[in-house]
Amino acid sequence: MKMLGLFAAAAIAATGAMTAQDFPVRIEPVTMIPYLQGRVVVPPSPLKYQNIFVGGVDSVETEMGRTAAKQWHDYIGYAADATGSSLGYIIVNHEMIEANDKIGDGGGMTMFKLGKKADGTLEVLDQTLADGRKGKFFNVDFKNTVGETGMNCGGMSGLGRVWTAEEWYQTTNKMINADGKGFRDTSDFVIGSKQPSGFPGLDGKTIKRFQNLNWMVEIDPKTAKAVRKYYNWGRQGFEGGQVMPDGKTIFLFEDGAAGRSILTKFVADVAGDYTKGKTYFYKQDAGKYTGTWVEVPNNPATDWDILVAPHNWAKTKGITGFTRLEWGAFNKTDGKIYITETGQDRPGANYKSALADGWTLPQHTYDRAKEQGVAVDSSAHMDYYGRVLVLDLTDNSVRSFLEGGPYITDAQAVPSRYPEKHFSNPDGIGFLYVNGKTFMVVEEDLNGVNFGRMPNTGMRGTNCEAWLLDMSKAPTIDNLYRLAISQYGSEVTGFASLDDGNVVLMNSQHPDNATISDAAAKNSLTFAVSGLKQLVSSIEKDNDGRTQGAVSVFPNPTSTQLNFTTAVDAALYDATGARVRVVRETTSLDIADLASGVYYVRFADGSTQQVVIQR
Amino acid sequence: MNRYVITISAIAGLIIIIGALARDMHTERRDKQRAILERITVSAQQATEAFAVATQNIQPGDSAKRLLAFYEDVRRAYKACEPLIEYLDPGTVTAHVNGAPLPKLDPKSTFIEVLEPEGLQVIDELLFEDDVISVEQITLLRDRADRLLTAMRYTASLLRAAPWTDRMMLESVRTGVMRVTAMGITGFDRPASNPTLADNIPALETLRDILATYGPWCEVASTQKILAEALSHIDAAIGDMRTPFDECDRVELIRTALDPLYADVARLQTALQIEFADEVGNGLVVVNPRGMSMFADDVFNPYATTGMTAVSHSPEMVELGRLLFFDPVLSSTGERACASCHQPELAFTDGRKTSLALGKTKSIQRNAPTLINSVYARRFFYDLRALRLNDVISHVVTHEDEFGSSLLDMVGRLRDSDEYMQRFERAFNVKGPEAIDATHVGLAIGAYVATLRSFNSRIDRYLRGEAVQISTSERRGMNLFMGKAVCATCHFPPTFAGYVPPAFVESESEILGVPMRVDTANARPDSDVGRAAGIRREHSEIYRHSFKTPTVRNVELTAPYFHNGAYQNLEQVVDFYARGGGKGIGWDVPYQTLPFDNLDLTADDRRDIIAFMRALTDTTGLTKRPTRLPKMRSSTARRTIGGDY
Repeated sequence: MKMLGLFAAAAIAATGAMTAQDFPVRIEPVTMIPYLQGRVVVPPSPLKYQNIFVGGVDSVETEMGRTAAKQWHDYIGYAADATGSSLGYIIVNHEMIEANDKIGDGGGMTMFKLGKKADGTLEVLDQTLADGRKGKFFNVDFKNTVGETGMNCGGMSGLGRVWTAEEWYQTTNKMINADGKGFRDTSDFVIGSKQPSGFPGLDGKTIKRFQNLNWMVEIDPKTAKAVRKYYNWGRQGFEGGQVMPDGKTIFLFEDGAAGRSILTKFVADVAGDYTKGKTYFYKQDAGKYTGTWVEVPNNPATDWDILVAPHNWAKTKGITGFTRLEWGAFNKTDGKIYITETGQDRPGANYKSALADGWTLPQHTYDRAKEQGVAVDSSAHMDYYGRVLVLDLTDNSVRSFLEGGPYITDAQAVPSRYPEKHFSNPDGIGFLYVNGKTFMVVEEDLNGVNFGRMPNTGMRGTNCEAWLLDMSKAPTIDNLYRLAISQYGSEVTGFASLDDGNVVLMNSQHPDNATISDAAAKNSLTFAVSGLKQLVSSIEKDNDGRTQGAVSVFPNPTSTQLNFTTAVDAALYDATGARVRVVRETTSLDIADLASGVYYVRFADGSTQQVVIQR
Repeated sequence: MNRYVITISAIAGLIIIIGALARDMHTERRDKQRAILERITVSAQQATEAFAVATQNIQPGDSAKRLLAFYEDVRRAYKACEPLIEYLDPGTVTAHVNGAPLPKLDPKSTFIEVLEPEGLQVIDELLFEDDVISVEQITLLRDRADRLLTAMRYTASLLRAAPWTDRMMLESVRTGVMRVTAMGITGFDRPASNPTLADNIPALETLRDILATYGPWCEVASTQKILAEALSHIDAAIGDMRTPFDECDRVELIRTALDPLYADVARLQTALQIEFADEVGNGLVVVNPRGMSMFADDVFNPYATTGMTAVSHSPEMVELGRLLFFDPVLSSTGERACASCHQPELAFTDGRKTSLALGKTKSIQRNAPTLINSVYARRFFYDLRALRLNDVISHVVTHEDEFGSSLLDMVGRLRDSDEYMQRFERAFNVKGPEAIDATHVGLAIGAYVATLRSFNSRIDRYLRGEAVQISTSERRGMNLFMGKAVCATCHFPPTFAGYVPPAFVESESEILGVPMRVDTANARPDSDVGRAAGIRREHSEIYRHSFKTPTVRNVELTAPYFHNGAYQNLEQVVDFYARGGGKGIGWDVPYQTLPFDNLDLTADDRRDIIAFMRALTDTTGLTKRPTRLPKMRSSTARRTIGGDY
């Protein structure tokens, strides 16, 4: 009887080998037993995800009462609690333009205070603000102070202070009004009509409403009020910035047109007072990576025309125009600043007109054109992946640190890790200092789905990823470690590291996936990922303890995938023997959506391992 | 015991031998496939290089004909690669190689940046616009040739280097069949030069070559019959492609060759137990890899555009959505429901020019479109302003002339019902009042609308080879629609809407120049700017008067027509198109995307096209209204199922 069973099993296996190549649709689990070579347990992830703030669902307290929060979460600002009684104040940008009677027209920001409970989970604390508002989430009032803001995308935080950036660069009142759906009030704006939100030298000045957009705007995280717009830094399509520890220096990154996006430095006369000081634009030396900082006339009273349209001035000075800078971050371990440059599919025409206007282009842009064998301003020039740049403050050089890719070229063919390790259009960036090591976190925001940015692995639409790079390793795509993959159609944005690096906050913007019966998956969401210290230890263990050569299966510490030591063909079967996944020539198998239970991984040679997924 | 071990060893040995043979067979197939890839990509790259050189050598005043042979070589060589690249990287095809010759916007730029069209179709227009080449044309041609060259080099590298598997090979064959059926035979690729069916031959030959590599495996697995059928269907299709463009019977071509071929490939994949796209990860698959006909309801994954899955899209959620759809409680006055303007009996339209506004005193801006098959789109509303089906309802609720309510007030009204509370709790697995929120209302209504699907018209059934008949006039009409009358170059099969094959990740809008009222001699332009006032990133001249391309399915029931409902019947609509739209009746319509030449349609042609469109009607099982609405706890207001007006 027993023999008969084995005969049958062997016959099925033989038929399988004949007809089904490697992985028949269904196998009797009994046929696997002779081949079972091990058992792998996928423990629950050390990472704990917690939803903190859901757009459209959570209510915010405004001066006009309570209303649903705006969506499109982008930058996350953070100011530690000096008293140490909580983790601190969090500010979330809303990257949108919307007419809203309670919150105010344009974009906006939401403030809340985070605490840590005894069990390690986070909680949004109840607060009563100085102006009497009570609740958990607070709208930052711009309308009645500094004037509205639009498309609050990026920003910067440091030394307990927070700024928001207004990326949406518009040049007429009609444009900002957007048929009444945007800024309904397009009357002239008087700077400083509401004190103390004015600006030295400009109070009482009347400007066009649209001219009051696109400045860096400081807000007070504790009172949820706007402080002022920094008119002395120039009006630009700012995406991000970095406040330096000296309390004087600020770097600003513009997401403007390709070949016209400015890298700005501001140095205050007196630490802590950023209303007075010198503004500089970066100009790279021709043919070199080093550069100089060109001083911009920035007396608000006398240089208003330059400040309100600094690009017109910049081009006459041959300022370096980047290809859409996004965010930047200071790495306190090496003292350098890392800036994301998202790229553009076909930047040649923009470069051509920028060069004709007097702008210069950075050396790494020429390098890329040279590699492609095209002129920098050729319409055939392509820059669809973007990169991370590094600004070295010791010699004022800007170089490419980590190029997106891999590019598919004849010379390179397909790197073995494509498409598993595949880095496109970096946007958010930050540093994490855990267990004595420094990690860069970079977040993607895909500019398109062409040129292989969404490899055909069964996915469609866009999925953006957040990556971790150990800064002690070579900056290569192969050394990137996937920290999170966003909901289908959404963008991972914002980054704030709290609680000594163990917790990061991130946003999932505009998700397109409602597969989870959870309002948080269908709206813009600020979520916390905690357990990073344990994760980092697990990654290091993985990298050390695995022998190459023999295939072994081991779980990714985030329990979203199974890893193999070498690229293999493999299939995953559930406990009943039904095929649920097949992967080819890859070192990982995605299990993020699979329930707890017993599974089998089968390889092309028939060898099988049992896998126990624990959630 | 001993014998037992020997037997096992013998069987194990046998398995190893068979395994080794199988490996050889698989290696051989992969080598053959690599050789095909090498051949077609080298040829495409060389042809494009030769074309680029030829554009450098041409002088102003030369005849464009000097470039034609080079151009035709590029087309032929590209067409051989087309099924594979359309499968692997459709975004690149649309943007750089063979997309419509229309400007687009940079989707991610902070500014509204117009991307000039590039690829073969623009080159086609440049070459066939004027015979004598001007200085401007040469500059443009050289530029577009350079761009095409970089794109083709990328394409060639990707095809050669991609980690091809058997699944991907067979799926690309299916993509190729869909491309030929939905675009290749309609003249989509040649906006200016004379369309020819022969363009499809290189693509079909590639499909044949790829399938033929499965011969040895099929022999071992006893599936030769399926493969033989597939190959004979390809040969039949290639034969048909030799007929002149206006003489081919596309109906029979699809029914007897292309649609069966589409099924053959899935059958082959099943028989060889090769994995399908839905097994490689948890990503969303748009085109159902297991569908057995291009003209059946299961051709797509209907959840791809809702973000829902078959699991979350439960019968409870659909029923809840249906009740909400017919319940006027969503509107501020309790008088109007979704069904007020989307009446099931009229294929979910209202028969009005533009829909009645809340309060009955005026009309809203646009005509109510059908909701049947609306799930098969990437964007919603005539101006494409909603990105998700689930978001549509929030626009309707908050519009002062539609439901005139805030979302919070709407949620408050619904929470007054215990029955709704229970239904939301069950559908969304959330307890308490939070179960009812605006997001869940949108999801439930979206879930219901996603069930309003129609792929069982007489045309569909005939094309699937079922035992129904179509008339000579309907057959001729479909052939005109898919050919000479160029309707299908915007109303793409199988949805006959602007849902773009073969990847189906984009919904198109078109600028037609529709006048305020039906009038050819003294027509006045309509003031509605459409997509240019839709989402903010698209407020551009290139989308001025651009409107979503609706489906032609059920058009018999959805009069009047166009975004402004200006056209009362299909005869008027066909006449408008036959004259070449707004430009054709003599206006300056910048960026008109409709071909503006007179189509030369005879009275018989027009009658037959309409007969075909009428044969696309199917609302079976979709028109049932609920018989009751959930009770409210405190509100005593009377509610009419489907609204008072």
